[in-house]
Amino acid sequence: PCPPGTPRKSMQSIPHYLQIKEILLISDQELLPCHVMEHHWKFYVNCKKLPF
Amino acid sequence: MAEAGKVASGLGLPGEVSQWPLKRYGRFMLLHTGESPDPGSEADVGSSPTWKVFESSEETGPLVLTIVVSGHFFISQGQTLLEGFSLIGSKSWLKIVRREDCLLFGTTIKSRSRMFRVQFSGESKEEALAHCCSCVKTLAQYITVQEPDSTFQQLQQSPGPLQ
Repeated sequence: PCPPGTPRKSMQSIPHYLQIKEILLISDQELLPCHVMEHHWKFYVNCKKLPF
Repeated sequence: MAEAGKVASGLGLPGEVSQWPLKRYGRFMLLHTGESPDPGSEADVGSSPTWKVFESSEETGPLVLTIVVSGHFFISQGQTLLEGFSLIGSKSWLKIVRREDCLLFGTTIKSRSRMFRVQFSGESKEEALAHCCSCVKTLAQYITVQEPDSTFQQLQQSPGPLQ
């Protein structure tokens, strides 16, 4: 069951003026269990700076 | 009829589109080192947190963040779409935090989470910051952007160094 307004759905309507020809998909390594992301999220939110 | 409202300057785009130039865009990922001695322990063992970073450059093209008045959010580089979703009703699965001229995004969909972040560009640090704040203003029409960085507000209120 996909909640309304998920990315999957809206990606299908890309305005033509963006001239999009390809989409960089999300790799498996980017997908984390929620609690793992939460852990890293806290770290970055509490960082003085987001070190790029 | 053909009243153009606010036309994004120089971009030749319709007025219902707002765009900001980005310096960098990064996707968070856990790289598995394959050297996990104890697979039963916490998830971080054997994987190292990394950001896959994309930069605006001559060769790769400029990174652009686009928000359409319909609530659609895009990040693109040249003709490649890097992010695309609707901000409408996004409170349940999206969170955003601002840090100086950077925004950190966290999404959770179908119990899978990911993070990405952007740094705005500008002629100066101040201009980048202004771009970021203007983007936050637009985002705020759809979703709350956390600003834990209270020192920034203090900086804004005090006059900048005059030479």
